[in-house]
Amino acid sequence: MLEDELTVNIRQRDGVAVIDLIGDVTTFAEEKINNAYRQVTARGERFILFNFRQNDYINSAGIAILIGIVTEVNQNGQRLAVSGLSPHFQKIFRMVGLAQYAEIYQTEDEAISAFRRLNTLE
Amino acid sequence: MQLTIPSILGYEVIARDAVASLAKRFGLAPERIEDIKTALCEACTNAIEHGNHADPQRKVRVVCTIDEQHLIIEVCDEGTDPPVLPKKPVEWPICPYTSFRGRGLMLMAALADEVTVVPDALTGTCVRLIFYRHPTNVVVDVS
Repeated sequence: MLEDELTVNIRQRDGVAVIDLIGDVTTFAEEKINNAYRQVTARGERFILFNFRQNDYINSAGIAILIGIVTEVNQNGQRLAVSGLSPHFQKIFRMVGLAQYAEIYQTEDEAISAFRRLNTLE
Repeated sequence: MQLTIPSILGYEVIARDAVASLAKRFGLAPERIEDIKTALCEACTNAIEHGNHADPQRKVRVVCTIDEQHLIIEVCDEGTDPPVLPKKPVEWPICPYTSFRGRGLMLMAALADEVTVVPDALTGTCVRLIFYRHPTNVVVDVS
């Protein structure tokens, strides 16, 4: 068994539940990512940010996990954004259609600002 | 360059790093190398999961060759069942998805310049990925 390469942290920033995904996002990440999403949803969080860091490897199995969460986010009336992706993985996310359901921001700060504006409007 | 990895998820990263190192030393652009890494990992995970049914005794063979115009990768499994493919590779990027999974084929077709699948009931299935070194400079001979 190869080493599990993902660390998941949950924190709160300016009314946004930030889920840091540090490392590889592959099939091995499913339980950790789904658990993190369930935790913030159980807390009643409405704005969720997946903040990617040091992601050398994101594959289609990892993307499938995120697409599953996007479906739940829509059903639960939440808002989802992603930040911190490299230009390559931003391209991949657009290719697979994830950008239709989650805004992509370069940085966590940009995403938080966008959520703040959205919260004001709503 | 030829590598043989066991059918254990995670080992595709070993092949990825070796091919990326080769591509870098032969001067491919960093963004092209990222495309190669992603497509190669998808081919390897398909070979591990679908071709070899994650049987660690079965191997995945990765062969990478490089010349002035191309980087060519062959990923071959030892599966004896013919692969179940949704249409031809050229149609993969526009195939509708039937589940959350299944985007690996689409990514391979979208990132590589050519994709070929050669099933062989005796020796397994080989996926061939071709990346042009300079995509706009490649002359296609249609004669």
